[in-house]
Amino acid sequence: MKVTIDPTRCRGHALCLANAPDAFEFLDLEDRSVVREGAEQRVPLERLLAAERECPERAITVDQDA
Amino acid sequence: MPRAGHHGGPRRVSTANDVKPRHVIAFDHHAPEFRDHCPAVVARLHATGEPLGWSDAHGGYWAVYGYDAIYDAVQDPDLFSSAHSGAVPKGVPRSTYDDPLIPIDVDGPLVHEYRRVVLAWFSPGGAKAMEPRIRALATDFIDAFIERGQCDLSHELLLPLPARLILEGLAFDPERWSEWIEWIHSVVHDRTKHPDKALSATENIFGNIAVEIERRRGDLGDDLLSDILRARFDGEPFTDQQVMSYVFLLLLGGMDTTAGLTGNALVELDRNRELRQALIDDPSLLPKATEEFLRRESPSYGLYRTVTRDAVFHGQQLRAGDRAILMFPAAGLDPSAFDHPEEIDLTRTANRHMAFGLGPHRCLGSHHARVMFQVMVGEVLRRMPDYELDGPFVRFEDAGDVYAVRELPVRFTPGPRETA
Repeated sequence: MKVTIDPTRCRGHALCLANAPDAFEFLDLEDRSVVREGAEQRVPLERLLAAERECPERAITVDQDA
Repeated sequence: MPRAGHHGGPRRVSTANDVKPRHVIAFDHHAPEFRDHCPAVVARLHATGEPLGWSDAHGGYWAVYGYDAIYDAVQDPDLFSSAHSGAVPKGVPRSTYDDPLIPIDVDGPLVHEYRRVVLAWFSPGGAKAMEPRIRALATDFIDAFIERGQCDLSHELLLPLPARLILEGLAFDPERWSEWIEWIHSVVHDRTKHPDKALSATENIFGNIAVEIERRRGDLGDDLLSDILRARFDGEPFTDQQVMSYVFLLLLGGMDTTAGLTGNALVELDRNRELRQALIDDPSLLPKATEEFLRRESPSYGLYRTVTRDAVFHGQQLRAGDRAILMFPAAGLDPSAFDHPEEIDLTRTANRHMAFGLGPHRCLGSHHARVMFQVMVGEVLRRMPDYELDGPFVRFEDAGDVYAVRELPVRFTPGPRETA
């Protein structure tokens, strides 16, 4: 499984941090989120899918086959 | 299953073959009908089946209200430009100031460069750090009326709290919040019907910001204005005009919209007692409710773009120079994107509303707005859980840019102050 954030789409809404706080980190001065190392192993799938589903910019992809 | 989430991948590109007859709508976002029946007016637009329409009001403009159309417009700033100036005036009708507000009236990489100047303040962490201050302000404002058993929530909590917070952030005199609010409200709500008043308010705002700039220049501190004055781009600072435009935008964003959202939500919580009880019984539902209120009650309609070239967009022939309003709150009411959009549903998923806009101009203050909203609504429900309207609430006369409550008289069982 692989979680990715498209850096060209992420606009810093930070809803991913609300939905899966342990999976993401916010880069203040870049105004965007990045995936934390090992998030796929540590964070329950339902939280990751919530982050993907609630992202208004559609920047997050959870690829369960990767 | 909400459908807003089912997009992604390459989007359909319209070709000339797709042009439909111009979709003309009887619509004016500044009209009393929009103020008094906003949800119904928006529902009627969605019921046309077209995601945008041409209004002949105010010299003509495109109203873009469909979820997918707004999403596509925001992704294509080359076609829907935010760059405004005297040569390409902003707004429908034209706003009372010509200089581009920074960074909202700018396109391209400079948007992020300019935003970066204040990002430490406006980041999620910056907003979290402000929460104790926001709570203290809420306690003070509510203490001032809690023993009385009645108040005007708008004037005694919703307007002053965000206003004080942004004035404190700028290190302006926070005691002058009511003057600033009056000017900002005039700029936003008078500009169509009483343009002279709005122009005079604009002059007051720029004049007062200019005084603050002079005062601050030799004595920079740890505040937003100092950060803006310190900023350099290729070694050059902002011009004074740019500094004023930046500060003006921070005041506009800081003073009107969060109060508007919160007022709209408290009106809904007066109507919907079941929802209110659910939030009183379980305050942990408030973050979820916040996203629903943002989707359904966002006040921020007046975001404008200018079309840069002839193009076909969602079946409509756009012309270079056409003005467009991107009605972000209308996207949250689009039944093609949200099931039962008129309902506040705390179990809703894929709530990809656009209350804070999307794309490079995503609302800079969104993280602060969420914290302020949750603190204000949470404290009202905790300290005056039985509040009810005490006479009719009053909206601002012109809701075209910000759909908000001006007067919100309520009564409630009096309670004790929480500070001495």
